[in-house]
Amino acid sequence: MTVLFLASAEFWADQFVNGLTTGSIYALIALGYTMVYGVLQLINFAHGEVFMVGAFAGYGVLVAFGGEDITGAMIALSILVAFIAAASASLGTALLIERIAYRPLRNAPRLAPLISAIGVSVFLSHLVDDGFLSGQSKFYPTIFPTGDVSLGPLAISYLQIFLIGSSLAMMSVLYWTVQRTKIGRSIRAVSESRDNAALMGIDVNRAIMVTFALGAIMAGFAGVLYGLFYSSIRGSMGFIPGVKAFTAAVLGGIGSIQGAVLGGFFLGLTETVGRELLNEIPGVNLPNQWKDVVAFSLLVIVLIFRPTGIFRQKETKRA
Amino acid sequence: MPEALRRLGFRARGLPEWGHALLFLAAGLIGLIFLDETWIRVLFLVTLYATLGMGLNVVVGLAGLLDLGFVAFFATGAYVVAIWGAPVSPAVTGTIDYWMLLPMAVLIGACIGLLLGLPVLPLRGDYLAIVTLGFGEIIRILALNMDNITRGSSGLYAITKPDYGFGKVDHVNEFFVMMLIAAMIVWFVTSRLRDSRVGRAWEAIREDEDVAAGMGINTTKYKLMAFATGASVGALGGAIYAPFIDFVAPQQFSLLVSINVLALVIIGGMGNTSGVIAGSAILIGVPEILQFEETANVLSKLSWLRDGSNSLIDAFNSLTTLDISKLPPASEWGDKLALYRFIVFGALLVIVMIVRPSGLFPSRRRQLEFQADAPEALAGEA
Amino acid sequence: MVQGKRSKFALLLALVALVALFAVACSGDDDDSGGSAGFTDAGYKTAGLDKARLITVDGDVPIGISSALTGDAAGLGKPIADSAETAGDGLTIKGHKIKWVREDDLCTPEGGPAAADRLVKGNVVAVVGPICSGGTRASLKIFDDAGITHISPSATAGDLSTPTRAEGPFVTFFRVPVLNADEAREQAKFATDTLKAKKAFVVFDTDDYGKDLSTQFQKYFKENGGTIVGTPAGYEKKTTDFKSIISSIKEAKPDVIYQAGFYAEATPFLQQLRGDADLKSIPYIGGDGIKNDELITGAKDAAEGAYLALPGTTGSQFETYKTKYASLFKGNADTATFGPEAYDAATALIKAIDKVAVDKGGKLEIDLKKVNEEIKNANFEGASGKITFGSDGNRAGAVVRFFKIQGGKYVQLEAGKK
Repeated sequence: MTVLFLASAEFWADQFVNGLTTGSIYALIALGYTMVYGVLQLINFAHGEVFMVGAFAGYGVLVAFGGEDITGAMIALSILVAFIAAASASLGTALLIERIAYRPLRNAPRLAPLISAIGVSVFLSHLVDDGFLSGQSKFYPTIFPTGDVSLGPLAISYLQIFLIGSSLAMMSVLYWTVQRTKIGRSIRAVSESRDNAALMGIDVNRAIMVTFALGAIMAGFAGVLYGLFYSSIRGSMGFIPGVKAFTAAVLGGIGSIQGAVLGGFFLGLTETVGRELLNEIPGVNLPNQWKDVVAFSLLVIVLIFRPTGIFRQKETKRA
Repeated sequence: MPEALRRLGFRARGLPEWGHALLFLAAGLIGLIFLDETWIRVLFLVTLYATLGMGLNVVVGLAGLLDLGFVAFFATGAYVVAIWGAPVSPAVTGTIDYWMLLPMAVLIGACIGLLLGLPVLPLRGDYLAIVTLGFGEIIRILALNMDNITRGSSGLYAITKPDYGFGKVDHVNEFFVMMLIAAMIVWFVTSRLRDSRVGRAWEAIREDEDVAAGMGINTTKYKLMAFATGASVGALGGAIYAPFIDFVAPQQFSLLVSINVLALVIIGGMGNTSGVIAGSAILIGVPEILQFEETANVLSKLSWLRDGSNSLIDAFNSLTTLDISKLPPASEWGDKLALYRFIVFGALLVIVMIVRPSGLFPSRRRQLEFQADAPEALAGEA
Repeated sequence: MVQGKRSKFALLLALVALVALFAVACSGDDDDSGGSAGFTDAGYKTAGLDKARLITVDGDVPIGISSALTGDAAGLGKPIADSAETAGDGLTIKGHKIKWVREDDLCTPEGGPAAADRLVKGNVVAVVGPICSGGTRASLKIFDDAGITHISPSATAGDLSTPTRAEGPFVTFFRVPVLNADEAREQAKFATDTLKAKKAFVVFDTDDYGKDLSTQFQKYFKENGGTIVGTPAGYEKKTTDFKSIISSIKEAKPDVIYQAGFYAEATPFLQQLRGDADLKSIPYIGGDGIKNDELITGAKDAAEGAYLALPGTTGSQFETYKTKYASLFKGNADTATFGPEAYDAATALIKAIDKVAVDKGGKLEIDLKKVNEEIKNANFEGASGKITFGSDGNRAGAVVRFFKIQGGKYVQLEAGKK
């Protein structure tokens, strides 16, 4: 079997883990997109910036704890506090955005909130880049214990295990919240029909705010994970993961929580394993810089066959 | 109002739309006389983006198809002219005359529009948005990595200039005139299309695709037409932009271009040309003008405002324990504003949308959707 | 509206064919470097510098700086602009003060000409910049039309001085930095001769600079008998995820890793590279875009042991520049990439203008033609070594130095040592 491939088993295992790592970040961000879309039919373009704010809040906490000098049990504590701070900062930002830029436009023509969202996105990323950092990046302290766990050809670092594991845990919590709690039920009701939900006595505004809050917590969490793993953060960092997460949400079927998670992992794996698999075809040579072409082509192909994403929802008209 | 005037497009309120277009043309020509190159460069960009906006307006405003990858067609036009019009182009030897390239670019643009349109048209709303966005990125990445055709990020330059019989279009002012003419042509064509049978079919699809199909409209055909029309306008813009900037490289065709064009269409008020021009002036013009010396000069005259604010801040600081820093001298405001122009730009998008959710100049028909109780306007429309 | 299954498959096939076609077509060989002719008389004529071109200055003498002041390249652009201004500290031109006019060229092909227009409109006598190759290429003609001589401290693409028109290279364009081709040749020599490397893996920024530099490196590395293993991996600016590239590096088993790009991406790359147990000690070579203070503060331990090439020497004026730069802008000259070059570019302009300016009753009369001639004949010791220009406006006789990061500092290596 291995003879078939030119590359070694370690290489494939490695790329697989890379795909899962990127995928979990995409998935966490995609959840915010998909939930907001579910209740408001709005592409929340500023969601990438909510993620960015979380990353910076986490960075601030880690620096306050001593940066590179954090050791021992303080590592766990500082990361925990960083997560809480990031989630709160992202949550605050998202609610503020909702209040200022989206709520006044709830009954406006459909594309108005989209432009408003783009405005918020440009404003926030440049506020951080031009206003505060003068175009420089900040770097997360490298405090996470290093080391690998080996499983045959698979070598996976502690940080990757933590990243993938905690993402899955957060996703499960979110899924449980939406499916099993009272507020979750009202969110689902609002995404079925805002008017009917209101008639049934559901506080629509509250449900919408909780939706933004849940998405923001996931994004803030993802921000800290991103910083810990890739280390480099800056004002414009949210844009590309934001677009990718949106792609993942659409790939999975926008509005669906399972879809967003699956879409995220699917996209992450396509960029790494998928691209390398294509390279196994004689004559094809797609180095790293082609990964987005592969990812977006896949999106087109999937949508040709399943025009509403992998987790096909009942086709409802939302003009 | 006499029927003859109404036929010419005069409406109960204000100028007809072609009046706005003529006003814009006149303003451009007057600008040409009084303004220097820095301003004309900005006016060129404003006109270029207004033209692109008119093209996108057909897709988004009329047919209701959300396209986030309009830059793909703009890039196509620019690259067609650059590949066959620049001697440095590695894939093609020799160059073709610009006046051959221009229609070629428009045609290829339309073909790319059809090619993209075919697979994505069954998609609706936001699915379409992300696929078009992806397509725009694919075109950019292809241009970036296909070195043996596009020279990658080194770009193509020394692009052949349009020859108008007495010489070559080579100066900013000449390009601006050329762009103005193109804008007028595009305005005329798109407004005729809008008022034709095709335009009505587009609007029917926008309002309700299923009902439109039920009424016997071939929705696939008309959606493809909208895509192709928009794409050819985008390519036309690119074909004029290429010899103007004389450097065509992938970094000029980022997602930001698509977002800018979409934003100016919506800010202007979807569906009408005057709005598109106003939107372009605000979104493309303002960030440029914020960097101008004139802006800094005007701001530096506001030192009284600074002194006033600072004495207020002083008073506030003396009363409370807070220590608010004072404003910098007014002479630095220009520099600061230039530095923070994108922050201003972002805030502007939000503010304009909140204050005028249907845009600055909402299209009349669109307005009617929100004010169905205005019988006089309804009568005028019929 | 609903398409049949068959047409969907046809579409899919077409798409796959298209992607495959592009993939096969992607391997390019772009080999235009160096080899340029000098300025021509016709070139002087198009710039209007074949005869005297007089301008009068009342009050302060405006000299332009076109640099990236905002955006992603501001980290590179700000020290350049500050260093250029440093050169004017305490100097006057025939008793007139110098007024620096800063314009933001964003380091982009669109920002370049817009900044150039604003500078020309601001009636500057000469210009330092633009700083990036793309922006420079797009503004060459604007400066040329205005007859304004400009010296770029940092545009390194070779073809900027190769003629694309019958009149030859633009006579108003000079530059201080060492060209990519020269830097890459020295880097390849360092890799094969000093590090004894046989197999290199190449990582590059897909922009103008990164692509050119990495292509040149590959050419020279192969000429020296080395092989390039794996497929050179490109990335775009702002990339932070290099894990996939690192997996490819592990698979290719090179004995040296070469990166052409900027520090903003080199920092996370090095962190992720050194985070992998198998790649902890494999030699790494970077270039001038990567040698920056931020690399060490950002990557910390991961930056240790990295080799960085930096074109240019330390000239006799370096200490003067360093002291003044620190006192005027609180800048660190040791880490300001292209800072000395910017200082020298500005110095060359000030010297030239001072020499040719004529006092006419309190106003200065300056001949742009003579300014241009003086720059061409420049010959002085600057902060980046001896400044003289060749017949095509490129810096003559430039050298490349190598540094190693040791103990959180850039330590210069002696020739042939590692």
